[in-house]
Order: sequence, then C-alpha cells, then structure tokens
Amino acid sequence: MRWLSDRTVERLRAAGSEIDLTHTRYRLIEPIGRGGMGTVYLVEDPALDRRVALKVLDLPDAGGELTARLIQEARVLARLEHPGIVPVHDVGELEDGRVFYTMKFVRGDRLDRWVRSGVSLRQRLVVFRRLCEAVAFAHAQRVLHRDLKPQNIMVGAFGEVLVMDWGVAKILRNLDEEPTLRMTPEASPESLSARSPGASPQTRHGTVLGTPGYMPPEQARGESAQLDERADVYALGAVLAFLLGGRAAAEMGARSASKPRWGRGVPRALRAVAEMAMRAEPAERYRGADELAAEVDRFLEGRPVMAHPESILLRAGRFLWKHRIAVILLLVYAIVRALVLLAERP
Amino acid sequence: MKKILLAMALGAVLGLLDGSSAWFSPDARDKMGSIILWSALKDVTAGFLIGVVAALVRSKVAVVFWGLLVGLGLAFLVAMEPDPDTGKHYYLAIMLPGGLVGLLVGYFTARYGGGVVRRRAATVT
Amino acid sequence: MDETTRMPRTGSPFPPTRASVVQGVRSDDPETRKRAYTTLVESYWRPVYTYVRLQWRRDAEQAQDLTQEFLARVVEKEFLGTYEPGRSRLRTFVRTCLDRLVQNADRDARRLKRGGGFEIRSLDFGSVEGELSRLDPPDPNQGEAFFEREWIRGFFGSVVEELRLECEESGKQIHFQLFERYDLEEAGATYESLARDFELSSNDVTNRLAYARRTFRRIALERLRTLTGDEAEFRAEARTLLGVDVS
Ligand SMILES: Nc1ncnc2c1ncn2[C@@H]1O[C@H](COP(=O)(O)OP(=O)(O)O)[C@@H](O)[C@H]1O
Repeated sequence: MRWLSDRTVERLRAAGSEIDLTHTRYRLIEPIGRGGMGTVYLVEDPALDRRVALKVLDLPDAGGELTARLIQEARVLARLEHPGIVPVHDVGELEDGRVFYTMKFVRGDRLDRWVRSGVSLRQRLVVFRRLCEAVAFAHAQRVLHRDLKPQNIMVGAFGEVLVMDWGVAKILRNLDEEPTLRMTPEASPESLSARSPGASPQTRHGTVLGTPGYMPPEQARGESAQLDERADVYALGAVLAFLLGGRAAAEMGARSASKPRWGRGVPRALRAVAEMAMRAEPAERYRGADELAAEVDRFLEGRPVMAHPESILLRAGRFLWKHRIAVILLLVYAIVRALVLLAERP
Repeated sequence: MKKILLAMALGAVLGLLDGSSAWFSPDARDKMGSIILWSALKDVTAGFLIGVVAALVRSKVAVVFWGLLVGLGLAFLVAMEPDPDTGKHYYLAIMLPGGLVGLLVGYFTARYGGGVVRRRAATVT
Repeated sequence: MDETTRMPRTGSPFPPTRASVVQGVRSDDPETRKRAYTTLVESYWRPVYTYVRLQWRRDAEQAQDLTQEFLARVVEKEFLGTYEPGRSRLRTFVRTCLDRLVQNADRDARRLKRGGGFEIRSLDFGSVEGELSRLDPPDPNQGEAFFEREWIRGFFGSVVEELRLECEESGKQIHFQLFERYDLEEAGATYESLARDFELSSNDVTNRLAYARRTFRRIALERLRTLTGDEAEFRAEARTLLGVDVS
C-alpha cells in the first residue's frame, strides 16, 4: 500500500469533498455555508450568466429521507413566492446520486451578525416587521417554518429580509391529517451537541426539530402534529427578544421557554410584545405573524400595543407628547388672547 | 383640495372662537353678532389663502410662516377701521391674535393635512 | 508492491464487508466475523504501530510485539463487545483500548501472547519504519489527534488502493493514472499537462478525472460505513474526512 504524505492526504480530502457538477449546467465557484443536512455552494450558471447558490446533501442518501427533505424544502420554497423568501430556481441530481437545488444567491448578512453592526432600534424593528410579513405570507400558504432563528434570516444591503432554511418546514393540511414529512435526526456535530441526552425528549411524532431558545415548549416536547402558526409566533418573539437585547438575549435563548431577561433601555411595550409572543401557552400568544406585525406597527407609530395596555393618563400623556407642537401653539394662542383681553379692560 | 377645505374649516372654527372671546370684554358685548361674523369670515378667508399655499408647498416652515403673514395681513385690514365709538385703532389687540390664528391654521394644515399636490412629472408612472 | 504489505483479500475489489464491522464481529457466521476482523486489522495496524512507536516512544521490537498483541485482542470476541456505538467513535474506542494495553504491558511485563484464533499474516513493519522518519514528532498531549491523522492516512491509502484495483478491473487504467498524477503526486499536474502527456482532449481529462474522483469518493464512503459503529458516527466521520471546510 502506498504511503501518503500529509499534503497528499489534504489533496485527497479536497478531491473527495469537491462536488462533481460535470453533468449539470453549473460551474463550481466556492463553498459558502454549511448547515445541518448539506453544504451550500456558490456556483455559476453559464446559460443565464448569473451566480446562484446550490444546496446539496453531504452524502448520497440511501434511506431517501434526507433526499425527500431537501426536495420538500425546494418545493416549499417554490410554493412561497415572496420577496421575503429566497426563491428557488432548479432541482437536480449529481452524478453520485446526491440531490441538490439551486436558489437565488443572497448577498447580505445573517441577522445575528447584522445586529452587531450597530443598527438603530427603529431599523431593527423595521427588519423584524418584514420578517413577520414573510412568515405571515408562508402561513397564508399553509406552511410553517418551525426553525426561525437569527442564523436562518438574512438581511440584504437595503434592509430587505430573506427567510432561509425551510428544511424542516411543515405543510399544514386539514386538521386531522398527518404532517407530510417525517423528519430524521441530523448527525452534524452541532446538532449532536445541541441534542445532549435528556435535553430534548422525543416522542412518537418524530424527532425534535428546531433550536432551543427559539422553539416553543410544545415543539420541544415533540408534539409536531399539534404545531400551528403560533409555534412560529413563539420563534418570532424570541427573534424579537434577540433583536432587542443583541447578544445577551441570545444567551438567554439557551434556556428554552423561560422569560427573556432584558437589558436596560428596552421599551416596556416591546418587552411585553416579545413576552406575549413567547407565552408558554399557544392560546395566549398572538394568533399569527400578522398580528405580531401589527403590534410592531403600533409601536412604531407611537400607538399603544395590545400586549401592554396603558392607563388613560399614560395614553393622554403619549397623545400630548406626540402632538406637542400643536398643543404648545394652542396654549400660546390662548395666553396671548387672554392677555389681550385683560389689557383692554379699563 | 383636502388641504384647502381643512384650512378653511380650521379658519372657521378658530375665527368663531376668536370672535366669541369678545364676550369677555364688556364694551364689545352688545356687538357680539357682527364681531363673530366678521371674525369667522376673516379667518375662513385666511384659511383659504393658507390652504392653497399648503397644497402646493412642501415645506412646513414656509406654510406656517405664510399663515402668520396672512393672519397679520387680514387682521391689519380689520384694524384699519377705527372703533366707531371711540375712534381708536386696536392694532395690537386685533393683529396679535389674528397672526397667531393664521399661524395655527398654517401649522395644523401642514402637519395634519397630508401630502402636497404632486407635480405632474412625479405622477407619470 | 510487496506482497506482504497486502492484507489478505478475498480477491474482490469491493470492500470485504458492507455492514459495519461492529455488527460483523458479533455475527454468528464465522465467515462474516472473519471478514469483519480482516477489515479491522487491515485499517488499524498501521496507525496502531505508528502510534505505539511515536506517541508511546517504543522501540521497533516492542512496538511490533504490542501491535501484534493488540490485534490479537481485537480479534477476540469480547473486545468489541464492550463498544457501544453512539457513545464514542470507534476509532476513539480503539485508541483508548490501545493506551490501556500499553500501560498494562508496562506494569506487568508478562509474556505477550500472539495469535488468538485468527492468524495475523506477517505485517510489513519494515515498510512503516521507513516512513516514520517522514512524520513530525507527535505532541505528547495530542494522542487522539495523532492517532486520527495516522488512521486517516491509512484509510485514504487503502481507498486509493481499492480505486486502483477497481479501475484496473474495469479497464480504466488511464482514469487512475490521471488521478494519480493530478491528486496524488506532490508536484500536482495541470489539466493541460495531463492532456499533453496522455494525448487526450482536455475534455477527456476533465471527464475521466471526474470519474476517478467520484469513484474515489464512493469507495471512501462505502469503506467508512464499514468502519463506523452507527449511522450518526458514519455521517460525522464522513464530514471529518470528506466534508467541506467553510470558513
Ligand atoms: N441562497 C443563499 N445565498 C447565500 N448564502 C446562503 C444561501 N443559502 C444558504 N446560505 C449559507 O449557507 C449556510 C447554510 O445554509 P442552510 O440553508 O442554513 O443549511 P441547512 O438547512 O442545512 O442548515 C447559511 O448559514 C448561509 O450562510
């Protein structure tokens, strides 16, 4: 047997990991990301002269479950034509039998990196609003994302938001029907460590999917058949908490279903919104992503939010503050009017 | 159009209020009717003039300033007529509140009246 | 190639067993068991020897004895009986056992027994000795990393060997030679120089190289499956060995 030098071993690893695009229309440029079930490459499509992202399974999948999942993800994306959801272009198979799909190559930052670039509260809320809109759209198409988290959200250069990674999405059918997809556990180092023994119980519905801290209690319990839109609402609430607290809240995210711990200077009303979205009991949460979006709108417009009812006095104060110039002008007029009248008196 | 109507309505309300305040001054009490009428008429006119400008000009400050000018100007015309009983001119007592009313109408119209009339070029899509 | 360096093969270019060796050694069928052991010994003897020599700093004779002794243990039925897939990687388990053996051998310098039911063909320790000088001396605290590296080296070596056999059997020697020149040789040829040397069109070079690499990858994955305890370990190992590094 041949003795291989370290460099040769490295070359072989590279040769073995390179994807073989010979019989596809694409040309490899470089790997750009790695996720739970596959790797994402930047490739070129010479026919259309554009760059696209190609997501491919890491291994040929004998059982077919991962393949089914990838194809399902592509189909979900195809169904969800929305500016906030990454568009899919094509599905195919490599020579070695691995399935791939291509999608728009997203230039931008992942949400968790984006917040660190010092963006204002307003910008963060505007981005969050767009996120809610995209999720609400998916819900209207009867699709649950089930793994919303900052790592799965990209923010473009113009503040456009793209929701990625629909690999564990669930298509809702009629109430009594089983979910279309049965998911399998992942063996990536990350998910193995995330799934330390006993941390996430599994039930017969299938494996627990999702990310601790962003996953509602019912999902952590593995009740995948009962999940509905409000599971995503919970995750959105956690994302909002993350956006409000930046780093600290991400750490709080590790303790699933616990109340976020807030830093200083986070507006009360927004805390209440995030907490309402993250209630343990789904019935106590917002009914959908659109309701959550409406709440954020209310906050942005200086109106009271549902989650944080205010006393009349507070409301009046908020009203007066909002219209303070008009109020001051009216007061000035009244005073001047009174002074003039007084001066006329003999 | 919306702005002009809003400004005229504001003028009417403020003019009525302004006129009614004459009730507090004892010697004017018997002429209340005509004072209120003239005051309202003056401020509706002011509202019209302010509204037209507010519909065309984007700058809030400009509209407010124009309101002040219109208020002062109309009040000056009123104040030029001396008091029939005493023959005195009440420039200050008429023009000060008058200017403020104009200013108020200008501010409210600019702030709460919505956008300006769009230029034709901008409406081509 | 020296005959003694080849571990006993069944003559087929395909991996001796498709199922995991962990299941294989527990099989009731002696043939299956034997194939599993063969695979284990084949893929572990070199890293074991190198590890004992360099990490444990034993001289050649001691290391040979220890390696033989260790392999004899591996071949015993109980050895893998205590291994639980899912708890640790098979490779880590093997190394831990090896460490224990070397430590115990230190304590009671009892006679090392050889054999143990299966005959272990003479292993060409001499050829490994020649290569040791080419290795960096291991960090004493990085035993696992060192063992892993050596294991991977041996693993890829046997995959290349199998690729060669498979290419020869299907009359695709040129494919293998291209692969050898492009991916194995330190200097690393270019597509153009290969096209010139082999008098092929560059398109042919591309396609044949792609074939060879694809086959290389397939063989590596098949072999890896036999050398891992369960699906999760297989996937994790595949990522370690053939995964893309994304910065
Ligand atoms: N369309 C895309 N454009 C740019 N980068 C992408 C795209 N899709 C995925 N990525 C990158 O690849 C990484 C892994 O992708 P992801 O879809 O999350 O994989 P998985 O579903 O396997 O977890 C992401 O974190 C992201 O950085």
